[in-house]
Amino acid sequence: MRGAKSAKWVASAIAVTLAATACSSGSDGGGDEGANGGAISMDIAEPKRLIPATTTESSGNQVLSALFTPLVEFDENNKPVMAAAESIESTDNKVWTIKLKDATFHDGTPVKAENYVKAWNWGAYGPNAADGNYFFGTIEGYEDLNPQDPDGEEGPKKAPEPKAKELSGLKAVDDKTIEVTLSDPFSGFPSLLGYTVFYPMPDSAFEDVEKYEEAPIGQGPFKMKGEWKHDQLVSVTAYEDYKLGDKPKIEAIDFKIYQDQNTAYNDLLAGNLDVLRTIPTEVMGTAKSDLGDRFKTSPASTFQFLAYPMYEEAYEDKRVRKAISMAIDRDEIIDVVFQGSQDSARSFVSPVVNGYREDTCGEACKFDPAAAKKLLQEAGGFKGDKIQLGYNADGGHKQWIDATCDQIRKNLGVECVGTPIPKFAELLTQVENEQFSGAFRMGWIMDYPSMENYLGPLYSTGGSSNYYGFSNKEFDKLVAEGRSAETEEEAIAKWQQAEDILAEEMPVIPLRFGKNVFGHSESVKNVDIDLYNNVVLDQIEKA
Amino acid sequence: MGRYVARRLLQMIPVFIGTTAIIFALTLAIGGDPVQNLYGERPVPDSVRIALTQQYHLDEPWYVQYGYYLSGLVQGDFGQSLAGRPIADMILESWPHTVRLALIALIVEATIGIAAGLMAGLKRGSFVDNLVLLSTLSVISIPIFVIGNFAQIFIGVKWGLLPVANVIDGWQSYLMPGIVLGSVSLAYIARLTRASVAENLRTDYVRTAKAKGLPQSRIFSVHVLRNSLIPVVTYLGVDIGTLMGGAMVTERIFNVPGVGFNVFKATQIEDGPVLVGFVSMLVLVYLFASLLVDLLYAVLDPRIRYV
Repeated sequence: MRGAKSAKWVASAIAVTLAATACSSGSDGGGDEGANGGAISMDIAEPKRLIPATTTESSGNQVLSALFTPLVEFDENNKPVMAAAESIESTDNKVWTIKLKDATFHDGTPVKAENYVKAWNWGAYGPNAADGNYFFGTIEGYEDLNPQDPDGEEGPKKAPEPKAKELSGLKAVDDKTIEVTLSDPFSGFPSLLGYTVFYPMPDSAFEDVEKYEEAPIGQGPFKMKGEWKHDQLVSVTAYEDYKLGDKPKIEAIDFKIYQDQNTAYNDLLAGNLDVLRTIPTEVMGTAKSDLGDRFKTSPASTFQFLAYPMYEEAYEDKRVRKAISMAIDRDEIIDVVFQGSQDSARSFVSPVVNGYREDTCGEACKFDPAAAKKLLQEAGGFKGDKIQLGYNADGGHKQWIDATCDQIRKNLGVECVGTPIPKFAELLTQVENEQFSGAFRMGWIMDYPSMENYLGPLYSTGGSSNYYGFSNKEFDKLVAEGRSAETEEEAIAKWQQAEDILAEEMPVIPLRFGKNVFGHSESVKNVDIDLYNNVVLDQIEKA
Repeated sequence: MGRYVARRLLQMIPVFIGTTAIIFALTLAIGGDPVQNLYGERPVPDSVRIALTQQYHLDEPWYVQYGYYLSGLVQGDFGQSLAGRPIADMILESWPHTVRLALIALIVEATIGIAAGLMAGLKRGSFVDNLVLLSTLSVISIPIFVIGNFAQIFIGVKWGLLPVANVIDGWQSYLMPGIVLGSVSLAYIARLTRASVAENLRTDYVRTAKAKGLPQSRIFSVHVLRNSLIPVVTYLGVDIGTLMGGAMVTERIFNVPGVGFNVFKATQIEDGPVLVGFVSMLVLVYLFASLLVDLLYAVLDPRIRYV
């Protein structure tokens, strides 16, 4: 009978499916489920990559900060202090000599100067497409590794092969000494070396970088336990032979990978997660009462602002740019929309860096509707039909943009609309092609603690994030002079002068400085998050 | 039968090529900038942009990119995601999660759904019937993310009965998302079964069977149940595909690193190769599920023949 025959066929198909599933669940649910007594768990998102030179986002950074020790760390005042480096010296701010402390990689091999040189060359070599590539731009010979596409990226010609594979300004003098020659003098170079992309990699890494990435070997306080379980877990455990600093007070960390911050928050409430690095805005209102004194905040380096399209006629007059800024009540928006989880910004550099001064923006950032209206009248009114505030719709910005627009409309008497654009990338492309005719939101996270990191990339002519095309020769000159200044004090003096130019020209409206808002469970204590959004791993303890 | 299966399998090839080509064209038609999306809000270094553009042929028209993809596929190479992970690995790793989830959902919806439908259909107008109608109506009308979030907060956080999120917590952590995932289909199946049973009870052959004096149990199991299950099986078959791909919302809420989540993520960052890889697998699942359903028809109703 046909029916019976096909029934058998179907039954066996189902049996095969069941068997396949059973198999995979067996191999998957291994016994290493954080049974460690001194282990704590912490939330991350799926890291993009786990290779030092190509890890610039926060989740990958957090993991690598456990596996590696940087050359320098930062004290309370954000001054660099030696960590993996014995000393970093220069007589002319151009040629730097880095001496290394004794250390071993987790695979037992000693850390040599050569390991740094190789890792940095790998990161700087264009075709490797490392996210942190541009950090190596200060070192001599960078252009040879990163040739420009002769006719732009849209053109038909392929970019030429790089002329060199190694940075000419980088060499290992002996096992413990690295000599770095910069293309221009830069007094802040030691601070730069605290960043993730400057970690070393062991010899074995270069045989197969993609394989290395599944279980990165570093020289830091923790080593990998097993491999990176994509979308699920990265487990690390204390490294017994750690010599570069204090040993951590916990035995192991499970970095649990969450797709959604709200889920992670619920897991924290249910007691399955020890540290939640960012409390989602949606639950900010109830989190304080849910967590009590386990709800924490700490300063962060983020800076949120609105940028003007410098190519638009309507915003040409700096009085117009100032008037709009003066019509915005920053504090009200922070209280209502952000539940006090950020601080209002009235300067162009964050309070976390040396050289920060309060209220450098002056009158222009003070909420004063009457003065704003008057200033706009003096400038002959707003020349466009309405003020647009552009934002990416995928980033949760709608609420504060709409609130800002309401204030502008009410206080300035000019029509204002929030203009959502699906993705930030699209917004940036429109701005770069001078197609977007309104102001738009921008955010900045510090790469290294220096005023220069807030000024150079954002406002200097051709700066890497100067999408709005601000250009001022005097400003460029002052920033460059600060970079090559001999002492930090001199540098800061120059950069402060440069900041004053921004206050005068107002290419952007400073709005908010960020805070880390995080929480933890009852089973951990001494939880703190540093300026780079990383949990401080050497002080956290089991409660 | 063998010929029928072979023909069905051969038909899958053009369907597969057609669907993947459409997905490829659509992904690229969005006209976004996948390299920038990969970088979020940070500027993309020029050299990185150049390297990625060349590696993934992003500057070529979609059919050329599709050509590269197909030729790789023929050689067993699924390609790499924009972040540099082999797509084959991603598929292999995410599949078991979704299969487990779908299996729980399928068991829940088939057993409870059919049972509830039978009870309601056999005793129409009774209290049970009204209860089933009311509860299925409410489940159908609530969006799945609301059901999911409520379940998570109450069952997971407040009462602590089941794990909140799936992070290597073993099989228990699939239970809640599985049930949530199955709940909507469960409601549909209950209603489908009810209608089907009610209809079959009125048919001529059931009346004849009754007149011949066959025992109740035989009338029910052979004549009513068997015929009533045909539409239900059809629905279940199609639902396998939906469960595999449509679990996007549920997988996100409960942190299950499965197929739905990967499709979601790839859509977000416009990662064409990953999207096509996963959707191709989903297309295959749909095709096999519908083949399975067609074959099951023959078991339930021998009058259906294949030539």
